[in-house]
Amino acid sequence: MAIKDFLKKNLLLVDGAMGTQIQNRNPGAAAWGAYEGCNEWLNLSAPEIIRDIHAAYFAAGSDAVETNSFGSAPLTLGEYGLAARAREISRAAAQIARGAADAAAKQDGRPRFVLGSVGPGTRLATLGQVSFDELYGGYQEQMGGLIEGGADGLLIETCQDLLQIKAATAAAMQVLGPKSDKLIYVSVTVETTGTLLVGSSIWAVMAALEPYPIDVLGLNCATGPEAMQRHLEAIAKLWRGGIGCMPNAGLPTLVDGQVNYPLGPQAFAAAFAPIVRAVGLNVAGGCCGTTPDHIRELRLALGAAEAPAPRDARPPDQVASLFAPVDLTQEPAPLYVGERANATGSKKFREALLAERLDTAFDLLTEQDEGVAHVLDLSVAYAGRNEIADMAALVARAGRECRLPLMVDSTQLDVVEAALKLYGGRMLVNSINFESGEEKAEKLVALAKQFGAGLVALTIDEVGMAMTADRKVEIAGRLIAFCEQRGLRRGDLLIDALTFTVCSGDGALRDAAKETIAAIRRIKESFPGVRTILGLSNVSFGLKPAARKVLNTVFLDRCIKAGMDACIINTSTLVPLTDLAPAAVELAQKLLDNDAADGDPLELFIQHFEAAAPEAEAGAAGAALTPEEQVAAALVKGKAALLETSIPALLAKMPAEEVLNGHLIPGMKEVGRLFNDGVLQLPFVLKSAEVMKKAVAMIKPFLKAGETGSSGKMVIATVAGDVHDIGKNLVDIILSNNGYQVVNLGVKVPIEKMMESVRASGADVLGMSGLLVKSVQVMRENLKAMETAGLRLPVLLGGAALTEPFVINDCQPVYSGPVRYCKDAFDSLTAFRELKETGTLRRAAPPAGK
Amino acid sequence: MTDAKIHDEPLTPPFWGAQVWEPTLEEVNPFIERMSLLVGRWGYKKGNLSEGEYRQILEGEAQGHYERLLKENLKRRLFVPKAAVAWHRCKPDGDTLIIYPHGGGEPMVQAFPRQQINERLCIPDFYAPQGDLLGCFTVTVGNPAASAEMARMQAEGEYQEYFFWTGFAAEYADAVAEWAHRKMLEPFGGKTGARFGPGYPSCPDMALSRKIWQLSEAGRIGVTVTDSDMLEPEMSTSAVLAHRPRARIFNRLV
Repeated sequence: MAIKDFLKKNLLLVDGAMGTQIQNRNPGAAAWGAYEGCNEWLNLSAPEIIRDIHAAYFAAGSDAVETNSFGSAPLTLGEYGLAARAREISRAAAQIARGAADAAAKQDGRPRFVLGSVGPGTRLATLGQVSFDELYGGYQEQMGGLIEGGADGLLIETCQDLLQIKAATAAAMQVLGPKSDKLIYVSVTVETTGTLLVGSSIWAVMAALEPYPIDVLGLNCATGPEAMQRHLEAIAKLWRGGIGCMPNAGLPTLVDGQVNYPLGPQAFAAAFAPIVRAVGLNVAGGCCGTTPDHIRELRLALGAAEAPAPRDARPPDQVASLFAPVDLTQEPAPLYVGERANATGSKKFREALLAERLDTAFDLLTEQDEGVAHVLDLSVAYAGRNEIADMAALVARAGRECRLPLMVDSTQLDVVEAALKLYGGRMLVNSINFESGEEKAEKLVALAKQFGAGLVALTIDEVGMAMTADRKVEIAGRLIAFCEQRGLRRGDLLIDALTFTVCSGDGALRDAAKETIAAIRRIKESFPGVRTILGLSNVSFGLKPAARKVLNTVFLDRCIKAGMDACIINTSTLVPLTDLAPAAVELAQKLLDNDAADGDPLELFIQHFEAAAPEAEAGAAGAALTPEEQVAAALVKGKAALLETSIPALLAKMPAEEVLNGHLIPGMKEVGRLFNDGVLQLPFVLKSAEVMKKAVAMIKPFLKAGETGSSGKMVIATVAGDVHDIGKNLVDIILSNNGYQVVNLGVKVPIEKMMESVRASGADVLGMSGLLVKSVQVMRENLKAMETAGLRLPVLLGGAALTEPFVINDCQPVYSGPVRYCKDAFDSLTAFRELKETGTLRRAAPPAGK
Repeated sequence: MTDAKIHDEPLTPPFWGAQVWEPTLEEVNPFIERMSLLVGRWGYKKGNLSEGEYRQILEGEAQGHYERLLKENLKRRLFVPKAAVAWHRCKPDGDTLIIYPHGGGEPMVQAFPRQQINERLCIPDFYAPQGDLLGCFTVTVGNPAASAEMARMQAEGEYQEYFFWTGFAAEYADAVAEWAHRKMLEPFGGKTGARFGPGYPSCPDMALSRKIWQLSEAGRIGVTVTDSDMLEPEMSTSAVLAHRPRARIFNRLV
């Protein structure tokens, strides 16, 4: 009979303690050999002792015994130098118990079972004492041996740490494969504090384990039966599967240095049997301090007990931190996901990461606690940073300390996996989509299953982001079917129907809000049980803060009414809808509806905020800009129109030199910084350069005679034989609009002409460009010619075929002046600035430490 | 590849020697690689933008400029596609290809590097051992008027326009190459195999550029070759066709 079938009709009575039984039988020095204290070794050296204990429990009335393998994982056996024999020892443990079970069954015809005991080991994964991978790999060895030896199921017991349970359960799933008839039984230890050792409440345990195919969840060890009752009742309310309990023989006390368990066999049975019935347990047994006599009394008290009536437990869909769960359905809706720990979206958070101040970054993540967030989004990807390291550091700490569950936000599978391996609670992963096809999506689903995570699913497919309601619903359907086919449930998914700004003036996006709202409604109708989520603030992208607040609030209200369950938002920006001016709300509604009955709704909305200048606006960044700010905005945003009033205003109060050096040049510096940070793209930079050119033309008449505003001069050319013009011209444009003078000699320029120009113009720097493989050799020959001619000025080299190692190893050695590799126009700017600010340019050299 | 006996069916080209083809802009436009232009040449990269912001810029702003340039180019005919195409004979000999210009003249010998690992491929392997056709072309979208207009934009500080147009022109030249490749192989039932341009890893010798220029008589479309065997104007490109189906682009080093 399969153990699962037995459990359908019967209470499963398991055995009691193993360790004390072994001690009572005094194995002797020959049996212990070199491994005194390693109970599992006895499976090989003295199997008769173990068999005898199993037989005693079966005789006492146990339906099942636990194998003598509590510590037979490689890590634990490693303390005795037996790690390599973990599988062998585990297999032997199961074979002994199997033999005893089959013998007992033969005697009286009652089925007897073997549960492969898997203890937690001695190190806590959540505290970083052991890695998920080490545990997972070790458990596979141990469990593999137990199953090979004939165990009917795996009892993952005395669990103190959610991450350890996940590693063990994932290993069990791996070893047993899908649709196994073997039992997976997880038993946790709730301390007298009411939580697991690491602080998890029993509700957090259930939320984290609910996604796994665990047949029985229960408690063992730590306390006696009475103290366990309330936790068992909590499990009974929310847990779909079976429930087990194996208490100690009461709360242990220390008497004369000896651990003493207060409950004798009859007292134990008298205390425990009523609880077994009241809660409706599926599995009962004993832990520390219990003996075959305890089990005999319990059997007498329970009789040939039937399985309890099926419970109608409906666990809510939840996520959980290490400590506590959060319902995905919030009353009132929605579930708020705080978005402040986002390297792209939050300047503070990004700066903390860039400065390696992970403590500050962590504080920013958890400060949202104080707001209204239910879940915390964590996104650390940023150019130049090691995403996996940043994510691991923050998730590991959040996994131990943070009371709110995490949503890990990354496009990288390895980052997501690293985060999942550090988090004991149940997290959400943002996100799955079909942008790069089904292969990546497949891997994400596998990760979600292995770690019991929920998934945010974006309506993006191979064609792109879904813009219309039809496409959003279609892709949502495909995502749901895809995930369901692979074993996820609808409750595991949050569909993000995407929203785009209705504020760009882009005709194609005017209906963006309408489409999103319609999609949310239709997804909720078409796919009952699935939830929706939205990164809501996108809708107002491009507006001033005060206007954004109004539009976001109105949009939020509309989305909730359409059925949105969750939204990702900066919770500190939320205001109650009722606090907003009715006129502004009405204009926002029209903008969202693209209702042009009274004119262009976007224009009307913007005008409202410009005209009304409500008090909310006064404090916000949208207040009227000073001329200084206007100049900065003109450059950064590439808006020449802003120069018309601001430049004359500045010229009226300061010398032209100060306008140039104090405002225009710093403005372009900011543009360069934004480009380097990956937030401004090349075409915008060129627009900024256009504005700069215009601004310089406006102040030129006011500069002192002879003052060109230039702070350095560069001769630039594409080398002989090479006709590529464009890259070199970009350098010209960027440099000449950052306050430097550029002499551009054009293409196919022989070195003689370059040297002549350098001498005639008194240039500070020479720049050589070339696209071809051949051109890099020409550059090297040119440098030799310059060396011979006695020139020593710094040289900047750039071009597609050029590499930094070539410059370092082949170019710099032939020339006495500094030679630098520049990967783009901004690199040249940086080098030029270094020269001007320090009076010298470092020579190209291999990076330190190599 | 070297051990296998290869039997390539003999083929007859639709013409021998060089021809000048002048496709309409509408014919070439479909072969423009949109993403290569927007992301590669124009630099609309995601960087540290959020997915939403990036999509917005790519599909709004960048796409807008792309469509505008396409339209404006149709109207102004600034960058106009021209192709000099040719069919000659060749015979592979180990790592070299001997080219026999149609209508006489000295055979040209072109050496190619052999792949250092994997299948040890080399471009001559892609031609019939007993002798084969050699298709090649030089294409351009440049002309003096366009170059003058680009110079004007740069001088007058229309930097962004200058940048958009030069990027567009370079991508447009590649589109003409793709169009010519397909068109040349149409009589054989469509595009098969691969094309190889001088200066790329499997064919680094720029001297091939001059040979193709001669074979395709590209002077007739206003293209010249510099001392260092580069094509002028900049918005030009050339290639030899390896028309047998087994031909494919390979990475020489890995």
